[in-house]
Amino acid sequence: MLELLILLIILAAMGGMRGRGFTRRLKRELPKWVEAGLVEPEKAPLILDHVAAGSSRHSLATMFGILGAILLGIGAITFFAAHWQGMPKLLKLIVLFGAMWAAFIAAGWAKSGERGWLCESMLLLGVLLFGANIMLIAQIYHIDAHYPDGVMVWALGGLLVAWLLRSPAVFVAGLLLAMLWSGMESIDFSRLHWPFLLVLAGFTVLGVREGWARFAHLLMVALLLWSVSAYVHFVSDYRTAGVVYLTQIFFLVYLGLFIASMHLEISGRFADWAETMRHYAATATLFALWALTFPDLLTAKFYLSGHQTLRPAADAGWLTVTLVMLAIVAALALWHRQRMLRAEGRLEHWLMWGQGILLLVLGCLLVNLFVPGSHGSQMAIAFNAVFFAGSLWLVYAGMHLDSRHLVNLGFMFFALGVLSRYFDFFWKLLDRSFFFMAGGLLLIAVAAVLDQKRRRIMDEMMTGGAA
Amino acid sequence: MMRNLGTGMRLAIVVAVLTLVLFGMIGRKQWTLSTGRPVVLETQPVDPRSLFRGDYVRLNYTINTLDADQFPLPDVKRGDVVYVTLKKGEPYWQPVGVSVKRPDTDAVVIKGRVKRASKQRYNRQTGKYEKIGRLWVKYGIENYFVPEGKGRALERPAAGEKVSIEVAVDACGNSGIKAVLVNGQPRYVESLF
Repeated sequence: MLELLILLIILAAMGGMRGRGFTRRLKRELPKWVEAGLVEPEKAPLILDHVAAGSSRHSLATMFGILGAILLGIGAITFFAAHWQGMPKLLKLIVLFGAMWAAFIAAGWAKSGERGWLCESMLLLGVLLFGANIMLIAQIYHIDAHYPDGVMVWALGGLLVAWLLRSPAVFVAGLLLAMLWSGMESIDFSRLHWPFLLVLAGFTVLGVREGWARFAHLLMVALLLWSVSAYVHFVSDYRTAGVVYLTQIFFLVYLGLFIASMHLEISGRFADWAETMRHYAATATLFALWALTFPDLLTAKFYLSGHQTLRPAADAGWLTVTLVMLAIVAALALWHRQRMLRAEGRLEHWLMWGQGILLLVLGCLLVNLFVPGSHGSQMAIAFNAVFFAGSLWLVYAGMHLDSRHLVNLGFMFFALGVLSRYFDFFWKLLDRSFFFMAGGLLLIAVAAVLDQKRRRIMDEMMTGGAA
Repeated sequence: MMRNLGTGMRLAIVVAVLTLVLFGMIGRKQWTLSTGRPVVLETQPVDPRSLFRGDYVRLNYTINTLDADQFPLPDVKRGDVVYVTLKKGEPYWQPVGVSVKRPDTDAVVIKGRVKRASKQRYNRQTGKYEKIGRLWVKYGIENYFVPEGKGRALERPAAGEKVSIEVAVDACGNSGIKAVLVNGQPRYVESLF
């Protein structure tokens, strides 16, 4: 519980620092606007000073206010705990409900007095006290239910407060509580926790409605963490033979997210959300594709009735799910192609290359469904080819989209792929000491080449951006 | 419609809903205690400490473990809900059946959640595993909060003292602790206030 509160402090405080990202982006964009004649040159520094002063004042007050609310919440809980025995039941209830009501009344007073930072703090305090009340009422009335339910009710309370009172700090706290709830259900009770997706959808709708694009990071982290727990859950069900098909399906889901982020970008209204979503989806997609490059996974030796067996071709169940996912991803990609053609009249090179690689990847996934583990090595070669092509395409796409993140990601996965294949091919062939020395040299060489390329690309992007 | 609401009204809704949720927790428990049929269960308490929740006694009921040699066990896994039928015995109520759906009966049926399911059980007397299925079931009455320092008295009762629990089981199978009995006499009795 204490760890959760500390995490809340950090993330809620981060939520408060909303002006920083905007100031940074403004610093980047203002020279272009000046050059385009949209802003007078002498006004640019004034605009920057004004925004920087405002955001710093706002974020500091909010951050300290939130920290204060959390400390107050902790103090209240420990006070109750220390003086619990001396209080009759009725008095305990009056204190518990009274404290929560007082926090919300104070929030209302702060809002009416235009003290936004205090309103945020009091709302967060109210939600913290709601959670404390759940725990303490459970104690007073000996309610020993399925304990993640308490955290679920707490998280839903947070969502309600964030929804009705438009509080970013409570949004962060509520989402963290929902993640904690899902973690408890997944880890402590080993179950696939679908209801979390509903709650996550609620937080996403609220975030989009309020334009809180800065929380896209947290929403994507929540979604990807959930997907990891779902993958672990399925892996324990399907064991060795099905893992490769399961990994293919997860790859397709992440790829679908990546293409969906490109759709969002076209829509314009969600451009801020699209960028963050694209970064996380690209990372997850390449990670899943990287997993599919391992010959051992594609061969999948396992033991059945004491005999070593190789992975059979996909059965009807895997075939159906994978084909449906393939169709969805292909449809998303085709729709994107049409939208781009409608918008710009032609398809740019980076997109054409991307669609070519996408076609190859989908082809590999399709073939792998019908090929048993005995052809795992050949499939590994095919998956490696599309993985390296995909990593390089990401660098290309990053250059076009002016995204350093995608460029770095592409290089990082390219290096990871090289290192993985080095381990695969030479681990058994070379003497151990030679293996590590040669590996070290290879790593330094790859790092030097990639860094040189990366720097050159970054410089080009900077020069291009300035021009 | 929500868009037109002022801050005061939005705060009022928040306070009302959160308060109702908390009252609901209390009301649901009180409903079980008020309307439920009382049963006395045999227990062997142990006394851990909860850092945030003060002292509590962890109660280990004999109905927490159900063996296949008592009656047939359903094929269930961890987290599944089961219904255990209880029959009055002397002095404690005993389990006489378990099912995944609530049986249509006038007998007392308590709802629980499977904590663990095993195809075999360990026999302490022989020191060997026997191929007899066993279920570990939790009913939500396993924790009882007591004033700080009082847990030990229940954990290690004086010679000749026997702790048992009076539980109320409502029509839906939900249960709640009504009283902690020592030698059949109430030591702690639950009330609304």
